[in-house]
Amino acid sequence: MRLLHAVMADIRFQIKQGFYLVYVIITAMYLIIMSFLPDDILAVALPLVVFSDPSVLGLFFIGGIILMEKGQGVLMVLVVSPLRSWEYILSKVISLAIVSVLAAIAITYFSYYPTVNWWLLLVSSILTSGIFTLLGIMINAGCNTVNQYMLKTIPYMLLFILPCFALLGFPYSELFTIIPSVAALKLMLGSFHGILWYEATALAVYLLGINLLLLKFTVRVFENKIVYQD
Amino acid sequence: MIQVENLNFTYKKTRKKAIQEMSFDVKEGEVFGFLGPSGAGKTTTQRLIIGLLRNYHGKIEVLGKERNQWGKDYYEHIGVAFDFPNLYTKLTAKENLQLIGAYYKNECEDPDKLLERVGLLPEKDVRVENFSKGMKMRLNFVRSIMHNPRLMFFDEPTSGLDPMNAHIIKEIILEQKKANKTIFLTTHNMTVAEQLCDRVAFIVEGKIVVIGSPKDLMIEHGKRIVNVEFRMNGNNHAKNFDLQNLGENLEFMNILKSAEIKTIHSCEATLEDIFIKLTGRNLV
Amino acid sequence: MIHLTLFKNDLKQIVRDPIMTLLLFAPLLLIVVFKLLELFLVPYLAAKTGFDITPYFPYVLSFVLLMNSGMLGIVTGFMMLDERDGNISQLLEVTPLGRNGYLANRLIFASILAIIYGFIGIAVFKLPDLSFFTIVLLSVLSAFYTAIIGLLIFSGAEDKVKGLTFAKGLNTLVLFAFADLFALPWLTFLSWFFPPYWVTMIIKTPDSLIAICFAIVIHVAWLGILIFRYSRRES
Repeated sequence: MRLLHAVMADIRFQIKQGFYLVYVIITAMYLIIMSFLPDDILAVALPLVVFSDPSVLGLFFIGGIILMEKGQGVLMVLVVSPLRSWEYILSKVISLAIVSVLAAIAITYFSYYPTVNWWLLLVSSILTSGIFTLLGIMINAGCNTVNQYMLKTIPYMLLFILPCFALLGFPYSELFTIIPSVAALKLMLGSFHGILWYEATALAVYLLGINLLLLKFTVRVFENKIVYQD
Repeated sequence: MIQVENLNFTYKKTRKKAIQEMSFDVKEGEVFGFLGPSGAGKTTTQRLIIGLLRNYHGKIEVLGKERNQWGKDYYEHIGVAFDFPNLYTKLTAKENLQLIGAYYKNECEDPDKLLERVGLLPEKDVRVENFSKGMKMRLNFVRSIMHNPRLMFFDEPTSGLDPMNAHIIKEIILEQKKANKTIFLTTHNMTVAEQLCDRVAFIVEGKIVVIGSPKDLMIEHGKRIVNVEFRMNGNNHAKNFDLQNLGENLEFMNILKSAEIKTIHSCEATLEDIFIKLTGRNLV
Repeated sequence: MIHLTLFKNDLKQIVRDPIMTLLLFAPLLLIVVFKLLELFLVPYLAAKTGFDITPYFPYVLSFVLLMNSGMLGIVTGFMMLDERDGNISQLLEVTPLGRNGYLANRLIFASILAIIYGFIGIAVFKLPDLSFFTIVLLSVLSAFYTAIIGLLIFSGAEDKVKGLTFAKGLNTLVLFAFADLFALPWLTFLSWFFPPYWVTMIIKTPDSLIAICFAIVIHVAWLGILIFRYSRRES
C-alpha cells in the first residue's frame, strides 16, 4: 500500500519534470535514425539502442532525483515517516523501469523489426533498468552535486560497458557473462535474435538475483550514508 | 513517555563528544522544552530520540520501548517538524499533505481543515515554491501533526513567523497538550519556552545544567523583592522592598497611599537571566 | 580586474576540488575512448561487415567536437544549478560582479576550455584538408556551443532533475550534425536552424563562405537570444 503510494508519487513527479516528454522526443530521434538503417545493421543497432538508452536511463536520472529530494529536505521527512527504506528505493526502481519499458517498446515497435520476442524484451528491459537505477542510488549516496555524481558514474560505466565488447566473441569471452551488464545485453539481444529458452531463463534468473542482491546492498548503503548521519 | 538515562553519544567522524551523561524524562501530556545555545547538543539529543542517530550509550526509552528496539513502526506514533521546511516545492500545499499522509496507517486529518487552521486554505492549490518562508513553516508544522501522533518533536516551530502566525502555532501546541499529546520542543527562544512549556531543561556542552518548571525556576533564581517607581514631591523615585512581610512594611504602604505610582514589579528572574547565570554564557 | 580575481578563484576552487579537476579532464577521456574505438572497432567492423568509415570521417570529427563542448556546457550548467541551490550564486549576484558578471564568468571559463579541447580534438582526429583558419573557426564555434548549452540548462531548468531532463533532451541536438546523411528535406531544413548542422558543414566544405557565414550567424543568434532572454528576466 505504502509502496504503491510511493510509486504513484514518483510517477507523478516524473511526469511533472518532463521525463515522459523528453523520452517522446528521444524516441522520435531514434526512430528517424533507425528508419534509415539497412536491415542487417538495424538488427545490431536496435538492441544496442534499446539497451544503452532506455534501459540505462535510471542511472542517468536517479542522481538528480535523490539529490533534489535531499536538497528540499523531503528525504528527511520520508525517513521519519513509516515508509521503509526499501520501499523508497524500490519505488524509484519501479517508476523508472516503467519509463524504460515504455520507451523500449515504443522504439522497437515503430522500428518494425520482424522478429521480436516481446515478453523477453519486457523482462530484459525491466531487469536492466533495475540494475542501473540501483547502481545509481548506490553511487549517489556519497554525493552532494550532480557533477560529482556524473563523474563518479564514469568508472562504473566503463566497468559495465567495456566487457560488453566480449559479445563480439573471442576465446573465453563467454566468461564475461558473469558481469551483469553483459548478461543483460545478451538477454536483450536474445529478445531480437532469438535465444534458447533455457539460456534465456538462466540469464533472467541470474539478473533477477543480481537485482535482489543489489537492492539489499543499496538499502544498506542508503541507510548508512543518508538515513543515519552519524 | 521518554526516559533518558546516562546517555552518551560521540560522532564517529569528528569524534566529538556531543552528549555526556544526560538523564531526563518527559511525561505523557507534557510540553517539555529543550533549551540551549547553538551547538549545545539540542538537535543531537532530538535526533537520537527520533532515531536518526545510532550507536549511543545509555538508555533511551520511548513509548515504552528502548529506542534501538523500535522498527519503522515507531514513526506511526511520532510527528516531527524540523527547523526548516521540508516540502515538495513542485507540489501544492494540499498535495504535500496528501502525499506524505498516504504513508501512515492512521487516518489522517482532513487537509483542508488543517490548512484552514493555519490560514493556508486560500492557498491550498498553490505550489509550495511560491510560498513565503512563514507559509512554508506553517505547512511544515501541520504536516507533522496530521497523522495524529502521540509524541511530537518541534524544532524552533515559530522561527520566521510573524507574531500573528506564531500565536496560531502556539495555540495548536497547547491544543495538542490538552488532547494529552506529549511534545518535545527544541528552541532557543526563551519567551516561547516560558509560554508553552510545563518543564524546561537547559543544556550546555552536551550536559543538562538544570531542569524544572519555568515558573519555579524563575522564582527560585529571582530576587525576593518588589521594585516600585513613583513620583513624590515633584521628584521621581525608585525603591526596592523585601517581599517578606510586605504588607507590614510601613514605608511601602505609605508610598502606595500617598505617592503617584508609576510601576510596580516583582523581580523573579527571566529564563534568559537564569540561563546566563547558570552557564555564564549568552544564548544564540 | 574583478573578472581576473574571480578567474583565479575559480581555478583555485577547481584545483582544490578534485572532482572538478577530474571533470575538466573528462573531455580528454572522451577523446581517448573515441580514438580507441576508431583504432580497434573500425578495422574490426571493416573486416567483419565490409563497412568503410572513411567517407563518414567528417561526421565523426563533428560528433567528437559537439560531444566535447556539449559536455563542458552541461558540466557548467550543473555547476551553476548547484550554486543556485547552495545560494552561492545569490551571494555573487549581490557583489560588484553582479548577475551578468557571474554568468559571464562561468560561461567564459567553460568556453576557454572548449577552445582548448577543440584544438586537441581536431589534432587527434585529423582530417588532412583542414586549414588553420578552419581549425580556429571550429574551436571558436565549440566555445559558443558550450556557452549555449550551459545557458540553456541554467536558464531553462529550475532544479537538478529538470536540468538532467534538459541535458538528455539536448543530446538529441547532436542528431542535426548528421542531418544531411538522411537526405530528408524537412529534416535538413530544420537542421539549418541548429548549430550542430553547421559544424558538420564547415568540416565537409571548409572553403564554403556560405557555410561559414551561416555557422557564425546561427551560433551567435542562439547565444544572443539566450543572453537576451536571461537578462530580460532580470528586470
